[in-house]
Amino acid sequence: MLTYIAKRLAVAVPTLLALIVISFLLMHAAPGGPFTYEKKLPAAVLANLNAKYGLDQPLWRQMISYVWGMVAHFDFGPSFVYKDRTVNEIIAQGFPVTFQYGGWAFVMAVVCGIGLGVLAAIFQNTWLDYLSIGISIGASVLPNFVLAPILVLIFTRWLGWLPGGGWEGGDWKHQLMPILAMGTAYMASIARIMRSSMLEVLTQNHIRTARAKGLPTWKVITRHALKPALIPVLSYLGPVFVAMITGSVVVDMYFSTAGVGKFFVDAALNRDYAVMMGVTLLAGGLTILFNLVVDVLYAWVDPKIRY
Amino acid sequence: MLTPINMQALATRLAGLEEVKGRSLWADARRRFWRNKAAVAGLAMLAICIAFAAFGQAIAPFSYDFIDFNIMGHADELGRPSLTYWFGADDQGRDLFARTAMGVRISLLVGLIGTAISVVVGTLYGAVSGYLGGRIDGFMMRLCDIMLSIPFMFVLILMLVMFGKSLSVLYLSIGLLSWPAMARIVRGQTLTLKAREYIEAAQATGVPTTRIILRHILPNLLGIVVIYATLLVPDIIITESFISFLGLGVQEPQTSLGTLISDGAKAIYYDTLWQIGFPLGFFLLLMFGFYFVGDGLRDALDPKER
Repeated sequence: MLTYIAKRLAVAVPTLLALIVISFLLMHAAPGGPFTYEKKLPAAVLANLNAKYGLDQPLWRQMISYVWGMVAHFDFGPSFVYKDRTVNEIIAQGFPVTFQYGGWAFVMAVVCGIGLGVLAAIFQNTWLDYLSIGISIGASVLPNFVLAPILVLIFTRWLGWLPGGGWEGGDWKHQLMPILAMGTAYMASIARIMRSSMLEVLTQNHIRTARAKGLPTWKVITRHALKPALIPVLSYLGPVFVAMITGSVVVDMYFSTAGVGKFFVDAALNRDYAVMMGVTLLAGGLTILFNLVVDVLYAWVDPKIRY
Repeated sequence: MLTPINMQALATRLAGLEEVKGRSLWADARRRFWRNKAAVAGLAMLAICIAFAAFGQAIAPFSYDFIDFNIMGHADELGRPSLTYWFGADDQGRDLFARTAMGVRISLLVGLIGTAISVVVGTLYGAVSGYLGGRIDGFMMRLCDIMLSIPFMFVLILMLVMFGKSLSVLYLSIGLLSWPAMARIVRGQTLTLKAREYIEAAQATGVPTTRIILRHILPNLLGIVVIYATLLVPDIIITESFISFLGLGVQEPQTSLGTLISDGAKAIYYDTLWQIGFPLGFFLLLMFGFYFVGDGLRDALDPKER
């Protein structure tokens, strides 16, 4: 197991490096730099600015110093637009917020999705099954940027129960709609995957045996059926995790929550390369780490898998 | 008894035979598809969207960038859906019917072109990787894994910012970023096809490799490619809308469904619900349409389901 984790981490390093190189080259292939304003800067000012941020160095040296800063000091460099802030500060401010509502959305999607899927499978072809299929088909075509305005329309405009935006230090009323907007579509997909895999597991011999020896249904499900049925869901968790990070881009824009997505879009609109790269790399690194965790979980759920 | 002369006759007869016309997979699939009510309903939804995208701007009384200065700023009173403005007008005084038609058109185009790029690249990559096998396969798939573990949306936004927010950049970068999933599916299918008896039979009877690929592998790949392409189109439309929702995609005065939904979403505080209602309606129609058609195609074409 440990060798497997080591091996996976060894693969993760070139992946991250590839990500760095690709985004770095993209950055420099682009016409215009971070200091291309509508009003042209005097050549001397531009040269000084470029020297200050190291942009006058050859490409390979810039890349090496960037990677070195990241590896040695976990330093993503200064922001090009917010003169007095580093990328680290921006990330440190945004990520905790994103993690808070993103984490809840993740938990909601997984727990409710699995619950809904199991219920639909146990009560196959009853109204409960059709209801949960209906919900999951409906919800799967409602991506976060569609669901968010619908939620605001219902809960803020018509019912007046929830505030339509803001963060207020993580007050639950401000978190509820971001969580729902981000999690619902993934809850639907998980429910669908869970239902079909549960149905498959329920036809297997060991379940028949468990039933035959007189175990009550809930015990058959929790002790014998749940673990094998979870495997396909596990493999879907990686994409869900990524979606929680990228989804924060929409949620932050629409609900004015101060997560990392807000900074990313601002950076994209202002051509603040350093912030964009920092966020992209951090998201990439987290994704790789999370996929590793999922793979380890696989081994726990499915004893047939040996590394 | 097969005398050498008989053998010769048999050989000439066999050589002279035309290829046997069987009941094709596609005729079979077509029959199954038309029997599936949800799939036919999905097809109808798509037909409505396509017709609207094709002719909507032509029959609209206003062009998509015509600004009515009387309505500008008073959309909540003067911009209601009416006989002049069928879908209402937005707060800039522009006709929403023409704009929605344009939005559907651009979203559909991005979806189709992006999918086409990703299908071509992914199918070629996957088929080559699967057919060659061995170390090349290992390397090509490792590259695929790296592509898949990169946060797609961030890189897409990065590319759009770097190369300018234009439609062609949007098509290209979406297509070029979404092929790895397709490549993996195609590779898996190629691997199973390679081990089939009829491929072996073809190889044994001396059919050249290119002909095996064209006559036996590609037609059998086509089914799975069509299914995943149909499911990829709504994915790409969602991606495009996501990007446009953030204001990083299609630029004014052009518009796409994502931009319209974004504008409408900002306008719900001013009670101009038609601004979000019509674009959202067509967005959902597209999503459901592709979803049902894709599902129906899967049932009709997936050989495992027989």
